[in-house]
Amino acid sequence: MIGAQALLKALENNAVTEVYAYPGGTVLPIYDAMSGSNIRRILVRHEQAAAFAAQGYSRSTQGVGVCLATSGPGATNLVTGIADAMLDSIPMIAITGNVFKELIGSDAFQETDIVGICEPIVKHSYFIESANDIPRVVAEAFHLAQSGRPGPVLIDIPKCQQNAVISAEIQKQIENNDLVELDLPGYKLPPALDTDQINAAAQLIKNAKKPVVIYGHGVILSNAEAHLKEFLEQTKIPNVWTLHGIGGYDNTQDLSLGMLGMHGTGTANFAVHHSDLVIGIGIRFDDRITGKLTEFSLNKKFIHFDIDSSEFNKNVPAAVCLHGQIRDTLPALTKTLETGIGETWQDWSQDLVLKKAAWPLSTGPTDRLTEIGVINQLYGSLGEEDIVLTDVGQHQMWSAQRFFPKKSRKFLTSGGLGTMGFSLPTAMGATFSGHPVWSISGDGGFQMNSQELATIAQDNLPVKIIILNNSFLGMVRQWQELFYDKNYVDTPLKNPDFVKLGEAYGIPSFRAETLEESAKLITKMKDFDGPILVEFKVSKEENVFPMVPAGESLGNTMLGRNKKIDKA
Amino acid sequence: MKERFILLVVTRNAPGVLSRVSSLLRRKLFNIDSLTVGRAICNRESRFTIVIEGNKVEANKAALLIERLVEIRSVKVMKPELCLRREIVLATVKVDSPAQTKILHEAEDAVLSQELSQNGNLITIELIDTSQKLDAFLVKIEASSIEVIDWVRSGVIAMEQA
Ligand SMILES: Cc1ncc(C[n+]2csc(CCOP(=O)(O)OP(=O)(O)O)c2C)c(N)n1
Repeated sequence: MIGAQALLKALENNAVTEVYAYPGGTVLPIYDAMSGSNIRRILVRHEQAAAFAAQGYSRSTQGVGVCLATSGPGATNLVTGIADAMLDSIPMIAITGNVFKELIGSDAFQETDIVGICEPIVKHSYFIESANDIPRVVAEAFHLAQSGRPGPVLIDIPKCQQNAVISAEIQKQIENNDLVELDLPGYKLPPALDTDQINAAAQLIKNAKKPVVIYGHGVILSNAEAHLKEFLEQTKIPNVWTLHGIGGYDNTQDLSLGMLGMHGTGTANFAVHHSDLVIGIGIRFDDRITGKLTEFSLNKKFIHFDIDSSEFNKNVPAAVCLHGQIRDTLPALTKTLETGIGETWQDWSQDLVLKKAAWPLSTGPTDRLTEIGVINQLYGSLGEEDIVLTDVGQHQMWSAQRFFPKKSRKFLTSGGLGTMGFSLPTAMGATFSGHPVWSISGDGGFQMNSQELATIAQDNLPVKIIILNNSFLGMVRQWQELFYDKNYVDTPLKNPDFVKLGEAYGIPSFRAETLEESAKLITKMKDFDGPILVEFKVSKEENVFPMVPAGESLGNTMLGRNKKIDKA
Repeated sequence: MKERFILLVVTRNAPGVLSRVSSLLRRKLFNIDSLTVGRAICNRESRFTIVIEGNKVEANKAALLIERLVEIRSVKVMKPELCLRREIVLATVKVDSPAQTKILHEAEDAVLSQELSQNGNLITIELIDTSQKLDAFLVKIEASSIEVIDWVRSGVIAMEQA
């Protein structure tokens, strides 16, 4: 058995069923071995899409997606998708081929130091020195990708080690799928519960007058949704969520105030701005939610739940840090709090509920087709299991503000890196969750990975493709309108005919220009078996509100062009 | 003087660890005064001594970030005064007069030193002490116009007091 075959067997042993991949010279032995394996190959049309598709699988299931690329340009094409996974803490394994070991360092044809390039954007990386290490490295990579704070792991395998014959002993080990011994002596998982910290947190909550909970991705990554529900329902603390917190809790409740941050709801931003205690659960106080940091942390205390201790005190000073899996720390805190504690801050809660009613999200104009109109129609027709992906831009924020799913892992978006081109390839991987998949993109971002229509067509991946075409790079145009005196430099787009484009790839494609057409086509998409594309021609110059201008405080949230929450 | 902290780091002795640690500190914009690394007694481990310029909060941040790397066994943040610290200098100086020789010997006596070789008026010496004392040595020598032909420092190594 050679290294390449060992790799495939090791992947199978780790329950891999698909690999998102693109061939090339330094992965030929792996391709040769793949033809004899049960693992399905998804042939993407650009390696960036392989990285995103692998993420789509990870984000929508609880598994670990795997992508594969050849050395040099193949490997560097993965980089954006790997960086995206790192910033959003998505488990993923990227495998690259590299030139023969003897050639490494010689600027050989298609040699790049992909381990070096990826150093800041991976949880860990490996360069395979010996084919015998492959089974152990694969097992370690899966463990590292999923445990603790998840993240991408890179395995770079020189072609000579793909060809090298492995020892009889190791061959027997992987053929029998024996437990592989990991060699990760320095890798620490979070410590046991710190009851002093739990008690300190409970004390802060008991003394609070205006508490608010911000929950984020960490809740979902820790499978702590039920614990969050229990905590919120017992304490009745008003709550808001981050972009990646969507689905962490049934956010249709009275005290669920909306998404927080730059395009958060007026009430969510108001609540956090005026609170005296912020309980951050699985969030990292990113600048897109805090606004101006000095004002954000003014006059309030913080309790911070995280699995990664380097997040504590990074952006805000925490009075109490609860280090560990949220599924362990949060229920421990809930237990120490009495039911009925919510009466302490009843006035605060009631005020917020009134504000929420006074500052609803816009339902959009009804005299024309807009992004909000399409999104509302779509959300009205979704089933509980449907997965929605967005790209990056205005449509992403409109979609996020209005999504109230019953379950987690139903709203997939590029949060930390904000990568245009995310939606379509990530949706491909999400189809392997077995649930209906809706991919929303703007006309700009769609064209960053539109080549994947070929992959979708070839593999008949059932992606329901929505293009919200406002003929602009909308989000940038909005900033130009508001802050650069409508100087629309390079944001108007001359677009292809998206319907013809879809048809050229053999995908049934349609266009909607009115609310009626839109409603009909969404119903058609819902019932459609297989890939389908619809271009929605929406009005060109709508703006996303609420909005906190860059660098300003949440207290300056603009509810509309001339309306701020502090004046409202 | 700027505040400094010492990070005592034990890592796996694996290829790439030095690069992971140093590039992490670079990209998070920490100010590194000195970074040394060598094998530990156990061949599978390496020990780093990293001196960073900054306050306690920054030093702790650096420690947490380093600890997050998979191959790190342990990180300790220490106030320099609470560590045993040593640095080595190898230097070649040119001594032109008996007066200079006298000054050189006085300066040598203030630190742990040894003359390694002599070639005419060129003397190569080894000095071992704290960085501050080695700095003071250099000031003294330069003030007396002794020409320093070559000068190389090892960077600090440190450990906790027993
Ligand atoms: C790869 C990449 N390049 C540039 C940007 C900067 N950017 C953010 S939003 C945006 C406009 C997106 O336009 P479109 O895809 O049409 O979506 P819309 O905002 O109109 O909904 C741009 C250019 C980005 N986020 N990602």
